[in-house]
Amino acid sequence: MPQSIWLDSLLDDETRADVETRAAEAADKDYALRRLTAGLPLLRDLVARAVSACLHVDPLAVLADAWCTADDIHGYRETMRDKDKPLVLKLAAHSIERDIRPTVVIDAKRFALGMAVTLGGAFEGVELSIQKGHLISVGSGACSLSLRLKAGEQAASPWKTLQFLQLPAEYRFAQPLKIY
Amino acid sequence: MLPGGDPMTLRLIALNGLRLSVAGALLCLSPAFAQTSPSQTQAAKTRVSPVTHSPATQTPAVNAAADQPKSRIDPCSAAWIQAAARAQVAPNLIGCTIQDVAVPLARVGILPSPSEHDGPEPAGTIIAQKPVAGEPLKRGGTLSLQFSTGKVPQPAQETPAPATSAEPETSPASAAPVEPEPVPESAAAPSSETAQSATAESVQSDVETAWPTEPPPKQPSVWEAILSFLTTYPLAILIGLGVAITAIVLSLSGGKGGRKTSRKSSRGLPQVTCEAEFGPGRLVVRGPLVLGEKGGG
Repeated sequence: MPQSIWLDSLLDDETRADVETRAAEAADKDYALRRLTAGLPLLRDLVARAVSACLHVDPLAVLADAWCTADDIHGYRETMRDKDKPLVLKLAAHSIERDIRPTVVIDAKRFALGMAVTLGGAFEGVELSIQKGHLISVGSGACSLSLRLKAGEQAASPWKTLQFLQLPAEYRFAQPLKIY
Repeated sequence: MLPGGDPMTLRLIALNGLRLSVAGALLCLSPAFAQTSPSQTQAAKTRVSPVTHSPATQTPAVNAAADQPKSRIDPCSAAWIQAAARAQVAPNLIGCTIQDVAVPLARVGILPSPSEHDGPEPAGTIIAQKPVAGEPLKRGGTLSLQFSTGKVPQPAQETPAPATSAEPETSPASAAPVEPEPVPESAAAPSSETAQSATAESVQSDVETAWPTEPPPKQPSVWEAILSFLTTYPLAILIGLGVAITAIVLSLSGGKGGRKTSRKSSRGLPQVTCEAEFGPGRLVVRGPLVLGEKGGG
């Protein structure tokens, strides 16, 4: 069984520093959070690092949400007689984007940062395993993961390619994802 | 009866213009005052002790107020006392009655401190004073006045003096009754003025040595000392206030910062976590997404 892929482990130092810088800027834009971190640089660093740690997610599982809600996949399943029958769908080349909006929690107080980390994935030749209405795994094919940052009203940063993955035959998600 | 009329009338005139409380306090200063009979008061006003109480005996050396109006002015009068007060010296009140000088002294801001003493002088007659005439006495000062009770002291009866004591008796019983020389006034007055002053000095010194209950020098209280300091050094007040305000401000600001730091250090840094909220996935594909089922047609 292949190891899990974590988004934060795909970040290089430059990208990680960029994420933390944007997070700090977004924290400064928040009045309450700025007052909380004022005069306490260590707390400001903690906020930035918390945002970086917030990216400890499975990028493929994050992007799989688009598959679960795709009309084409849903329509294909509707044409099947036995909807609980396991099936493996071949997908055309496509790309998926999904925003990750970090929310900092300091002593049970939530501060939604005005920033977004957009995760992008370009897939080619991938196959999805569906069983009992749930997406089980993805495999076979290639995936190029990229990242884009956007904080506040600033223009989004250009896409930054994180990793080019040659997916294994079957990359199982940690939990089956329900197909709507 | 004196030319001034009834002694009680004189008292009322002297108290005129004073507040009732002050006048009452002054009248209460001397218990002998209330006991003094009009005849005693009259006798006191006649000043039967010519050596020590005559205005002529007031030497210029011991009485700075002697520069003021001299022979025609009654030394017990308010004008005489006021003149001495202006000169900031103690007036010579020996021979005066305590009743006469209490109110004028109070008017000029001098607090009389009377004390009784047995003596042959008429009751209420001042036989000693401290500070003595001519010594500095500022406004607000206390002038201790020793006045006679009019009782002749009995000779020592039950408390014989120690046999080894060779010193002259300094008790009031032996020192106070200094009898003046029986010099005829007609012969003494014009010729022996220096002799009278010398006798007066000797009597004064005897009285001083016989001062029975010399009140201890009044120590200024703490508040009086503080008040005098503040009035003397107003700049010190401003500097002190400035320093105090600065210290308070610094302590308050520092205290807040200190508490904040200590609170955070005691509790440690706040727990910071991050939760990711995911937006909807946006899938972009050219053409159909599903190419088909693996293993199928």
